[in-house]
Amino acid sequence: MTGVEILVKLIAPDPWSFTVYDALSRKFGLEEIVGIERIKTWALSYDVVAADDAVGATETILRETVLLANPNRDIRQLRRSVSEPAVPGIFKLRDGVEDAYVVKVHNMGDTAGENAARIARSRLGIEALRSISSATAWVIEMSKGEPESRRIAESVAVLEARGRGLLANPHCQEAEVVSAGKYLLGGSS
Amino acid sequence: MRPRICVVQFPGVNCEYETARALEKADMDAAIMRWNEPLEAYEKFDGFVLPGGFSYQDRVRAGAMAATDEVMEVIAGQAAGGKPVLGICNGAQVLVEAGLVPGLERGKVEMALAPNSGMGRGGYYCNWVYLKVSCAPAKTAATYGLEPGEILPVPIAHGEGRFTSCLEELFDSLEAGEQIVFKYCHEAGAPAESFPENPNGSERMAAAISNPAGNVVAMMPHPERCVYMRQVPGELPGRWGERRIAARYSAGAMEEDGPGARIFRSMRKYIEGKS
Repeated sequence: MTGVEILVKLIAPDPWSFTVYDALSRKFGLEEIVGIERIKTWALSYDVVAADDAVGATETILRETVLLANPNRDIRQLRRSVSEPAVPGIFKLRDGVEDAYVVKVHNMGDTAGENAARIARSRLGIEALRSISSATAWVIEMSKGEPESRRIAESVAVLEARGRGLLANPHCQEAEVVSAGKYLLGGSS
Repeated sequence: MRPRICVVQFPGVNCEYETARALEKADMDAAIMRWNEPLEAYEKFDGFVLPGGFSYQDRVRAGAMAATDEVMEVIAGQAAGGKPVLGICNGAQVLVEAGLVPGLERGKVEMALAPNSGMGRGGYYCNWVYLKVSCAPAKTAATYGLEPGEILPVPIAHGEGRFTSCLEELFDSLEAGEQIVFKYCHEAGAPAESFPENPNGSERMAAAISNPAGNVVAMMPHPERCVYMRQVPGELPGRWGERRIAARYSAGAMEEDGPGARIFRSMRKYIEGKS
């Protein structure tokens, strides 16, 4: 089985990111957070051995449909693994950002990926496509480095109580906290 | 004296005016208050309604951002003092995200209103559904004036209305504590175990859930959309549809209470009964 991933980000400034930034920095009082970015991710897995075949099939989906990204609205990047760094249009470390963490949130029982996969198989004839799953990657940019940055990211990842946590409701979503260096900048840690 | 009810207008809600009108029809005074008023301004009310809509454009999750607003701390404090709080649709999502419902452990978020699913159908869905009173009516602010087991047709319109939790036995506790206020049912009251009668796959067919005290109720259906008989479709099977047909040539009868008005009148009776 071979997998590829697509990162998708709005071309225009993202109001969702501003709202989350406002909530975390002002309402939660987390002044160490200096910015929030939102990236939609799609993970596609194929019943093929060659990575080039998986990339070719995914490019067909991106070219023929707007199921996963709309070129009028979105910047997107297709990559074979997280060792490929994100292009600057998707993410880059800004001046003043000491560290960044990604909180990846996945809806349990999410049907968006299933629906996209069904359409790609039935209308584009991509039989080797086994599954598509989607997630939202919230990139938390901070003015503090480790270990404070990881602690802050973990504190906002999962909603536990009113005013404690935000990005994933554990009763219907799963959250994974990973360093932006590893997930978006091609680093090993 | 008529109870004074605050309808909280978060940015993005769209049912505040009809909710205020529904409260007025139930002989209460309604004031629409923006979410960012001085916090002490909310304390003069006898109860609160969080109306439906799309607060903060459903950013992050439905209800998630409004739940972080300071006004929710005030409402939580007022609710702890016994004042009734009714969350309708998006308002229900706010109450769940703020940890006020089911409220077994104060402030803790114990459940979610997840995207509709589990019935072979997801996505946004609008229809009329039947609700059955599933608790002792005197227990909650939404059922105080209703009959045990009473059935009410009420419209729904939502994409995330599935009450669910990863806490094992939570719904057993809610059943035991009579915190499941309304359940989806068929016209005659049989349990709605499948779509479309259960429109979202909600666990235990829950359409509304309260806190343990019963003064805070999160309900997904929209009672404010059926407070007048004229808002009830004549083709609706059951007693309410028949009454609507019978009322069709009488302007006065068309202005009489629809099924949703019984829920708002319950809220008024609850306030009077508790004061």
